[in-house]
Parts: sequence; C-alpha cells; structure tokens
Amino acid sequence: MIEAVAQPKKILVAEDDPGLNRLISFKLEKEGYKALTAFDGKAALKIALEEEISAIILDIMMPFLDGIQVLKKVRTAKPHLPAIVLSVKSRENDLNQALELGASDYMTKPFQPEKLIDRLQKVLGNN
Amino acid sequence: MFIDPYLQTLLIITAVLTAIIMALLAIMLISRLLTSLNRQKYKLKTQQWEDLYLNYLHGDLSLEETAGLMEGEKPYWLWQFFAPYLDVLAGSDFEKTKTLCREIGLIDYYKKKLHRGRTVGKATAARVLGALRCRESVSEMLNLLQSKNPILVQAAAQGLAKSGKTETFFTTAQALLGNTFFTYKGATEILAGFGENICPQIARYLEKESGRLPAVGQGQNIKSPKETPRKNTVNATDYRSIMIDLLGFFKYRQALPLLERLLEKADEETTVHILKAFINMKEVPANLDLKSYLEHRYWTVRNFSARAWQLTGDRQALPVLEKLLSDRNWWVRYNAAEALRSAGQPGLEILEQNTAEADQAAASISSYALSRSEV
Amino acid sequence: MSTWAIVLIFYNIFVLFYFTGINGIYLLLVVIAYMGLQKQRSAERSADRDQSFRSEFYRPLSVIIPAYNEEATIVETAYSALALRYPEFEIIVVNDGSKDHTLGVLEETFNLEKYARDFSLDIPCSAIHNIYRSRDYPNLVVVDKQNGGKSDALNAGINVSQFPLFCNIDSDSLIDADSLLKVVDLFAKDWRIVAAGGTIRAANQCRIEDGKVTEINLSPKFWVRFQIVEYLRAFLFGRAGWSFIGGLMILSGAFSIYRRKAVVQAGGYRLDTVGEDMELVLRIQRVMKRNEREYRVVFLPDPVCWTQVPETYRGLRTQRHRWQRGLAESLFGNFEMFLNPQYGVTGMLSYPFFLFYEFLGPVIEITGYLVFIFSITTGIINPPFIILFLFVAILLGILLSTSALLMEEIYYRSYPRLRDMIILFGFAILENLFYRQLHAWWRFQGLIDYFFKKRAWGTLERRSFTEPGKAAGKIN
Repeated sequence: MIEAVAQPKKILVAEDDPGLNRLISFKLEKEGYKALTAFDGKAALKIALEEEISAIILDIMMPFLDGIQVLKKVRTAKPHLPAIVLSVKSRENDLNQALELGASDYMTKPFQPEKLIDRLQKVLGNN
Repeated sequence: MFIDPYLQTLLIITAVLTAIIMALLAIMLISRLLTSLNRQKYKLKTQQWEDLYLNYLHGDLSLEETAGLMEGEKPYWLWQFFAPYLDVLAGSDFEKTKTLCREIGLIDYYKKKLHRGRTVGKATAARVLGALRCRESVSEMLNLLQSKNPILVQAAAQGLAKSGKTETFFTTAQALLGNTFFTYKGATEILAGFGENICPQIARYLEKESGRLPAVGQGQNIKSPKETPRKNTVNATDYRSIMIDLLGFFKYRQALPLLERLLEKADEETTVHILKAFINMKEVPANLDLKSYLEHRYWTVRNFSARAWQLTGDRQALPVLEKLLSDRNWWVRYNAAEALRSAGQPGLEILEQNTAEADQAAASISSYALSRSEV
Repeated sequence: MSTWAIVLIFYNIFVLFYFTGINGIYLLLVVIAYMGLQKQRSAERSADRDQSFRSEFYRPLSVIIPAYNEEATIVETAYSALALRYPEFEIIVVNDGSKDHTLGVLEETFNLEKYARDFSLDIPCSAIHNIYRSRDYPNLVVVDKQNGGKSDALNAGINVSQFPLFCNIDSDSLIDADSLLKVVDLFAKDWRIVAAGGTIRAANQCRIEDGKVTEINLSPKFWVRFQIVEYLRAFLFGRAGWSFIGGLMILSGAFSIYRRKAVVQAGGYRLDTVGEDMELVLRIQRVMKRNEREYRVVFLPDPVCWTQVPETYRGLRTQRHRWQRGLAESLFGNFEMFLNPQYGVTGMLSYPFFLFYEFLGPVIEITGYLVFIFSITTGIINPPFIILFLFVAILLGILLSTSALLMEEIYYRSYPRLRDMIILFGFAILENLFYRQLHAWWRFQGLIDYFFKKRAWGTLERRSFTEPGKAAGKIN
C-alpha cells in the first residue's frame, strides 16, 4: 500500500496589516505549513468555513467583522478548530471574550512571531 | 478713448498669465512622470526588502549581508517600510530590526534631522526615533516640547514616551497639556507610551497632591474644566485626572488605597476619573460604599458609579440602581440597566418588572437591556 | 461723451474687477491651502495612526446614513461603512419612509431583526416605527420611520445614536476605510473642534466593489468632468484654504462629523431648509459663541468621500438651484454673523465673501455679460481694450483651475492615467469659457427662486436624498 504524502497543514492568517500578515505567513511557510491569508473579517470567515484548515491565527481588529464575530460564527460550524487570537494589550475584554468563545490561546501586540509559532505548534500538537 | 500704454500693459499681463499657466501644466506633467517612476521603484524596492528582511529575521541572512543590500537607500522609504513592523514586533525580533536600522544608518540620519531639519523633518524624525525606541536624542526632544508648534510638541512627546525615559514623564505631561490643545484621551494615549514604570512616580505625585486638594463643596468647578480655554498654564484638575487615568490604564492596583483616600476629598471631575480607574482595574476598594455616588448630583458621577457597581455586586444598592432606571440622563439609565443585567437573577427580575412600569423611560431602557441579553 | 457711455464703461470695469477679485481671492485660498497642506504633512508624518486603531483611547462614533428610496445604492454604502477601520462604531441607517424596497433590501442583505432599542428624543423628529439590528453585523442598526425629509431623518439618527461623535454620510456615498481614524485623530488632538468635514470626489464611472472604490476612472461624461475640476477648485482647495485661516463655513453633507452634544445644543438640523448641512454649521458656531465656548470647524483634506454627481444637464441644474437656495437660507438664517468681529475670520471674511461673491455674485455676473455684449455691439467702448481685459479675467480663472489641478497632482494623484490629466486641463480651460457662465445663470435662477417664488415644499418634500439624473449603477 502506498502511503499518501503528508499534505502541509493549512493555517488561516487573518490580519489586516499586510506587513504583519506577510511576516506571519512567511514564518509559517518556513515551518512547513501552508498559509492562507485574509485581510478582513468577511474574507476570513469565508476561508474558515470553506477550506480545510487546521488552525486560525485571528486578529481581533479587522474591517467588516472583527475577530470575535468571526470566532463566534466559526465555532458554530467547526467547534474544535484551534484559534489563536491576536490583539492589543489594552483590549482585555476582547481577549477574555475570545477565550470564552473557545480560543485556544492569545497573544498581545507587540509580540514576537517566534512565540506565536511555538504556541501554534503546541496547540496543534494537542489536537 | 484709452491710450496705448494701457493696452500694452494688458498684453504683457496676458502673456505672463499664459506663461504661468503653461508652466503649471509643465510642472504637473513632470511631477506625474517623476512620481510614477518613483512609485514603481518604491514598489520594487519594498518587495526586495521584504524578502531580505523576512529572511534576516528568520536567521537565514546575516546582518552584514542584509544591511549591505539596504544601505544607501532613501531614508524615508526605509522608514515607511519598517514602520508597521516596528509598531507590532517585540522582543528579539524588534531588537534585530532596530540593529538593522542602525546598521543601515537610519538612526543617525534621523538624529541629524531632529537637530537640523525643518518642521516636517523634525516631526518625522521624532516619530522615527520614537518608534525605534532610541534614548539618544532625549535632550533634543525636550527642547521641542517647548516649541510653539503643537505638532512638534506632540511629535516630541510621542518620541519621549516611546524612548522609555521615565524621568522625562512629568515634563512631557506638562508640555502636552500646556502647549497643545489635546483632549484628555489624546494626551493619555501618548503618555501611556512611557509604559507602566511611570506608575510609582504618579502615585508619589498624587500622594503629595492629596494633601492639597480642597474638600468637596469648596472650589467646585461647576463648569467642567475641559471647557475653559487653556492658556499655557496647566489646569491642576486636568493634570490630576490624566495621572489617575494612567494608573487605571496600567491597572496599577497598588494605588487603590491612595485613590480611595483621594476620593473622599475629590471634586466632580476627579471623582469621575477615579471611578473610571476602578473600572479599568476591575476592582473597587473593599469598603467603598458606592451608594452616595450613585445618587450624586452630577450625571457623570452617577454614570460611572453604576459601571463601577458591576464590580462589587453589592445587593444593597439594587434598589438605588432601580431608581436610576428613571434617571433623566440616558447614559445613566443605560448603565444602570447594564448593571442590573450583570447582577444575575435578581437584576434580571428587576428589569422584567420595570418593562411594565408606568415610567416610560424606565420601561424602555429595561426592554432594551433585556434585548441585549438575547444576542 | 454721453452719461450713458460713462456709466456703461464704469459698470464694465466694475464687473471686470469683480471677476478679477473673485478669481484672485480663490487663488489666494489655493495658495493658503498649499501652505496649510504642507504644514499638515508634518502632522501626518508624525501621526501614529495604527496605534489609534488599536488603542482604547478612541471615542465611539455613530455613522448616520439617511435614506429615502435608495434601494439601488444603500447596500453598497452600508458595506462601505462596515468596512471602516475603527475600534468602536455603529452604523445607523435611517429609512425615511421609503416607497421602494430600501428596507426590504436591507432586511435581506443584512439579516435584520427588530429589537427594543431605547433612545432619548433629544431633538424632535417624526415617528419612529421600528428599530432593527443585523444578526450578521452587530454594529449595524436600521431605523424605520415616518417620512420627514432628510433633516428629520438625520435628527432621528442623532436621537438613536448616543455616542459622543456622529458622522453623517449620504446614502450614495462611499468613504475610505481609514477616514474615521483620521477624523477622530483630529478631534482627539484638539478639544475645541466641534465639526469637521472631508473631501468629496466624484465616483461616477469608478469601479466599485464591496463598498470600496477600487479603480479611479475619469468619467467620460461631459458634465461630470466639469464638476471634477470644480470640486477640486472650490470644495477641496477652496475649503482647505478657508479652514487653514479659521474661516470655514460649509461642510459637505455628504461626509461630515460633529460632536453630538454641540448639535443637540444647537437644536439639530433645521427642517425648513435645503441647505441643512451648511445651516447647521453656522448655527453651531453661533451657539458656541453664545455659550462662550471656544470652537473650531475644520476641513480634512485627507479622508475622502466618493459620491455620485449629477451626470445630466437637468440634474446638475436642479442641484445648483437647490444649493443656491440653501446658501440663501443658511446665510439669512444666521445673519448676525455678518461682519461681526465676534465670529472672527468667519464673520469678517468668509460670510461677506459668500454673501457678495457666492450668493449675489450671479447678479453681477449675468448683468455684467449683458452689459458687456451691449457695449461691444453698440461700439460705445473701444473693443480691443475691453476684450483684452476680459481675456485677462478669463486667464486668471484658468490659472486658478490649473493650480487646483496641480495641487491635486501633488497631493493626491488620484487619476492614474496621464491622458486624464490632459483632459482635465482641457476642461479647466473650458470651465472658464462656458461652464462658469452657465453656472452663474443657474445660480441666478436659484436666487430669483429664493426671493420671489414661494417654496412649494415643506418638511414633507418627497425628495430623494440623491440627485435626480444620477447614475444609479456603476461600471464593474
């Protein structure tokens, strides 16, 4: 029996800052993942629902739909999808809400992308 | 009727005007050409730089290699490229970026600009040096704080805040309030850039000040201090309020006893800010009885104490909150309803009862609060 | 020489000096705008805008969109508003008793449900039937009310909104995503500001996707091209110039932001005027003055609002009639500001300017042309001189329009194709030879309307909030 070659895991990077989005995607690809990018909430939701992704990295402040809304809607369809939420330190309420909604982890900006990748791998490892 | 010299002058004027128009057209065309060339160049460069930079961050390229390929480029373009990353990165990635910027001469360039540039140059320089968290140009920036141009004062204040030199905090705060027209929130936002290390200083300052506060009833400003024009003298209440806001923003709970003491003698404005600080810290001092504040004569105090009440859950105040559902100010009603909504079963019951009340305002706000629970 | 001849000569010269004067003042405004925009650059370069978006120090804001019979454009506008980058804001679409499917379209697209939203009736307005919220976009609210006109719809929106700032957008306008950040930044940096307005540009034939202008095209329509040049000259740099010297009197209703408290204090929008935005701005200033509060009204050259301008002769004419009447109503409704030093630059410079040049101007212009033609044909005046003088006045006008184009090139560079700039330059010339005269005639008619005709509408005017003859669709 021929074993199928392992497909790289797809990770959705939902972040409206194009530079940061590119940075995270770059690091993910270096670690062997495939990064799908979205620059606003609507696009993020679409990709999250339609594609076979293994995890989401989700910025809270995005146009159209913020990260919380996206998370809410994704949870109803895919309750076990791991999500790491990014936000600013001062918006604690958002982070708490995200955790209540089942976000696996969070990081506050400014942050170190390395740590983000580490946490992502931990979260994926747990699944 | 009219002699030739007039005709001549008019002809000359016509010629001059036509020439100017043609010149403007020429400038437009040249400007467009140059800019589109520039834009293309910029786009190409930033794509290159992005590749270099990301690889450098990841460790695949050395500092020397990366710097070698980036130096000599237009400083402003480099700054625009790095700016979004500098705002968002922390730790070793930030340091690596800063080292790279230093290596390619960006920091030196802007240090010189700060010293010798025109207004636009200085403002940009202050911003750049702030984003890079440079501590070296502090004295320059302190000078800029005294500038007549509020834009420069702001840029310098930002730069100083991000440099992390907390010893310049009070000077910056005073300049920001005295030399610009900033609102509380605007000023607090910039000062928050200093980081939470300023909290002990602020606490010490407020301790000293608490001895000097007039008791409530004396020296009341009926007109909110924000409304009176600032004339380069810093209004004491404004200053104090911003200090308190910062303590709240950094959730400096060590200051809770101090704030409780200040509250006893505070005027309306200061009271509001102290309550806001409690709300931000998510903690109200244990022995504080909010009832008197819920019934305060200023709506702002009633409003924020209703919000602060959510942190105490003191059942005894429920009837007072219920009364506030009929308050004449909309925000007070709204926050009283929110407070009840957060109070679990007893709160929700009160809201339910009130939807059928004779008082239109109370009924309406109760229904609204209940509808928010349905989302 | 007969007295007739002397009178005619002097009148001709007076008119020509008038033209030189108005062009000269506008030119001065453009220069001031240029200097002000340079100064603005330093503010921009030092601004940390992304920070504001991420910070908690924002002031929450309501975006109010009044709509009457806008089923074709309302969804696009709502999407444009939803796409705004701002930490906390709500969108309040006010359906002013539309006869078409405006409400239905909104219900379907945004999955609306009724809810028990409370509000305080700070400003009297006609009956509000229901308030809806969107299940998909929690910050979208739709107010369904009895028809009462645009001002009434705005007042209703203000009542329902409770945030300290509100932004008024026309139902066929699209705003740049970063506009709110830039505006609120201004409010945060200067506590005196009570009102601010942004730049308006013509979106006709631009590519629009998801509420954003993705491709800026120069409209091929004849009348639109004139308006583009005109908007640059008068609305962009004219207003920027006034703003920088502290004399801004008008904000465009298509995109303006106010402190809610100030507007409520002033009593909201007036129902009996067609120039409700301008009238409000003037009245707010008077109220602030009366309460001895310092205030500022500013223009932001940066945030851009895209709107559909009239494409037909009739549409444009109707609009300009209306503007002239609105101008009259606003000016005369706030006459105490005229040459009143208490109102600073606004009272001493802007108001008289608008009164004599913008409002009464058409009278001088029209009579001027008539007298001029009469003088030439009857040979009373030496033709070469007077013709040359006229030429100079027109050249000055062309210079003005061209400098506006140059400024647009330096600061915005919106039109990507070189061909577009050349075409606009052509229209800048044409504008002074043809369009301005026509425009003067329309404004003259508007003026007559104001003084002599009874206004047939009141608060129940069933007027769409957008211009007749505007393109309802877009090129995609």
